[in-house]
Amino acid sequence: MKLNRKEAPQLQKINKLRIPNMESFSLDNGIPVWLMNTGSQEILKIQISFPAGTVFQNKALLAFFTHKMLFEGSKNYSASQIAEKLDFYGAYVDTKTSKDRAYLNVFCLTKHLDKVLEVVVDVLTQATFPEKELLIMANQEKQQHIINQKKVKTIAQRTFNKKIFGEDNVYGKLAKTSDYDLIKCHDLQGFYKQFYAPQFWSIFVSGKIEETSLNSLQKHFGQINISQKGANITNPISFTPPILEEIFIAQKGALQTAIKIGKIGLDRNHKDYAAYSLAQTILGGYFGSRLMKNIREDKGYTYGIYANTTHHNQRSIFSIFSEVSSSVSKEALKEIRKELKTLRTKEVGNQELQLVKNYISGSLLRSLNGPFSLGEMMRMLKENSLPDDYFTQHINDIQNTTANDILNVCNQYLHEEKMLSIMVGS
Amino acid sequence: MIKFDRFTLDNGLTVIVHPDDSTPMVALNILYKVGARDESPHRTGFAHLFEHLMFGGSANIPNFDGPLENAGGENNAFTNSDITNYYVTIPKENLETALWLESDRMLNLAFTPKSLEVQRQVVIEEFKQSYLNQPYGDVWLLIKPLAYKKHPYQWNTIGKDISHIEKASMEEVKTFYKKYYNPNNAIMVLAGNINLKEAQVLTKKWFANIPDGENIVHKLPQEPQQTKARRQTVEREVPSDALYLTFPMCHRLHPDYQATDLLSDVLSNGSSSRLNRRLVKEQAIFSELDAFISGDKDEGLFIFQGKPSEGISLEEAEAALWTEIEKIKTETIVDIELQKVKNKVESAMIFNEVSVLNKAMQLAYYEFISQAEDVNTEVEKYRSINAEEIQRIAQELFVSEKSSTLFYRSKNNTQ
Repeated sequence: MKLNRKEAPQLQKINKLRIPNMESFSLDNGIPVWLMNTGSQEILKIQISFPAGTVFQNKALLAFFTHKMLFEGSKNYSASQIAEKLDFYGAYVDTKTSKDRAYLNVFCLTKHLDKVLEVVVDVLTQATFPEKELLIMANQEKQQHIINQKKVKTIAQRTFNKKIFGEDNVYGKLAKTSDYDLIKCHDLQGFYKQFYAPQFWSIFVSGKIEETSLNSLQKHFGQINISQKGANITNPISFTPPILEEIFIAQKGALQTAIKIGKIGLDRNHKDYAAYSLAQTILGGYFGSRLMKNIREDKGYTYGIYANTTHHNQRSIFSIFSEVSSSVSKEALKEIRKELKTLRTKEVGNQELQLVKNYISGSLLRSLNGPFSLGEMMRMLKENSLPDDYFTQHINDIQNTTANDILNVCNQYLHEEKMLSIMVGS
Repeated sequence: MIKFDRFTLDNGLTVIVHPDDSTPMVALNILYKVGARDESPHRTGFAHLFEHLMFGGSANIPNFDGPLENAGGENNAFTNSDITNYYVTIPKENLETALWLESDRMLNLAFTPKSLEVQRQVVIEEFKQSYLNQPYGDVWLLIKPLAYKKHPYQWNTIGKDISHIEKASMEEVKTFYKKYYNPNNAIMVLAGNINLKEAQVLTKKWFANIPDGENIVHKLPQEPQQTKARRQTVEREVPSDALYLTFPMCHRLHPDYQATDLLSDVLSNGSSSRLNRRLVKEQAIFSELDAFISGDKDEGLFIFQGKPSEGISLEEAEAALWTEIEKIKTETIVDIELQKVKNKVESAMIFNEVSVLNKAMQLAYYEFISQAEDVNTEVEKYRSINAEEIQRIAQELFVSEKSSTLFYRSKNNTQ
């Protein structure tokens, strides 16, 4: 039989996700734990979540440095002892602070969990924030900050952030170079005492969880003394609507101009979220998107252009970002607006719509692949109080969305003239 | 332990299959044995430009990405000095779509002038975004020609100069394709929710009738032994100075490779490593400092890179770094320090095996440098290394006459 290479193989619809069961329980002292027991390697990720994001700080960089400094010394161990111990067991820790929360991720071999947790819990409950280490770290971070300030990308992102939330808003405020000199140990100690108290912890475990792993969790986390019952800490923010202006910041000699355009987006539980995420994907959410096709593949203005939504607890932000050749930055901006306009004035064709639906299903399947991605998904669902079958539901909603739904959503939420535009370059 | 099977089609295409049914996906990785080292010195950046062209439509299929996305798949590619590597992850139900697409672009490309023009522009923008419009972005454009004088590793994957990309002609593009993009110059790995039988049927169907090409012999100019220290100083608009120090090291298959890697780990892997603990934390001479190996197939580089802390000059920083280097040459490292870096390597390898795509890439890479079987014996090689070996390598490697030093000065600091 002659092979017909012009004809694509038959496709199958992907609408089933394989999501293992999540389990949850409380440790002896009441700290909640969620488990995602899956995977074939003997490894674990322990994620501890704290209500310690930048929204809770009353001084710039407090949340960031408190989190980063946790492993720089505890009552029982010096910074180098902590590092030595964790390195010895081949464990990795990484820290992440967002506007809302702070996360500590611990990766280790299942067999070393007990030893690793001994150190981790000691550090988390008895961190000392030594002055010398803070001074060194603050200097290093300051240098990094200064380097980043040179990048058109960073300037565009920072300006966008300030303008979309408002400069005095807790989401909008960003650290300045001089703030790095003002951060003091006792500030960190105060923030730590308040926002890292164990009654506020949530623990998410993913990977190959053995009976002994559960014992180790109980032994180390479950025996921490909790004096007060934890109430959820919240810090409701009042927002003023952003001014939708067009801002150009000149950077002499920049070969590329960073463009960031956006507005307030939709939250994951919004009734129009499926149509909205389809619109966003069609526009700039994958390699074959309209923006990528037009601005990169047709015109060669850029190496890449993307649209996405960043979800914060109290606000979601839609944005388009690219670094384009400075000589064509005006044309690029015009083309971006043109694509936004087309999206709300002309119904998306059936073939493109079907492709994007299939693409989204495939990429959900991909992102729910492997123990740690699944663990991340579990945390996202729990922290946002979304149902366990959220993704299955989302795939269904995506499949049932029509071209007309997308048109409506774009007219309502993604109007090209109702966007904040920032350009940084020459 | 990654279990796999291997078979070869009549046209020379090597196929490796690693079944793992813990995932609903299949990763398809195709490694072409061509990289920047195979380029002519007058057409550098060509292998990478070519990687872009591989997405510009093939003989029978006008567009690569569309049908793949329609099948729920995702793909990307990278080029380095030694190889060009293409990879796809796709729900297993639609694997055949990926094979259809990949086999067609191995068979022949469309070579439309529009695709060449646009990708040329895209690559030029990539050049600007990654190398020219970034603080410290041109560092590698300086280091490589300083460290290599003969071997093609002297240029970067992106190329020596934008003009090489600007001048690439369609004729050259076609010749390059004809020479390197053939089944006998490729390694294909299928990893994930697939078994050997399915893999055999599908790969035969789509790849067996692709004609083979010439056998490639990589005859590359060898780098002569370096006998004199090299230094270069540049000034740039960056906020702080930076120091780079490189030494030539062995090739990937040399018995010293793993010990050299461990040497870099002792110095710089993890926050308890020597350089980090002593020079960044205790003495605070550097705000950041790293030691790592380039990991190339041919003779590579052992690299130190760091930024001195505020108020520390490049000269002071360099002296402090050399003091640490002398220490590791003269004092044997203690057992616990060695055990620690070995544990870290072992742990990193296990973590690497979480994703089928990583496994597919590793199998392809080991098959390229020697044989895929070595992926499973690598950890043993690390385990058997002793402290004396590491010390010997440090003594052989870190010799002033074999060094290349780059002072990357901040304009602000020189005023």
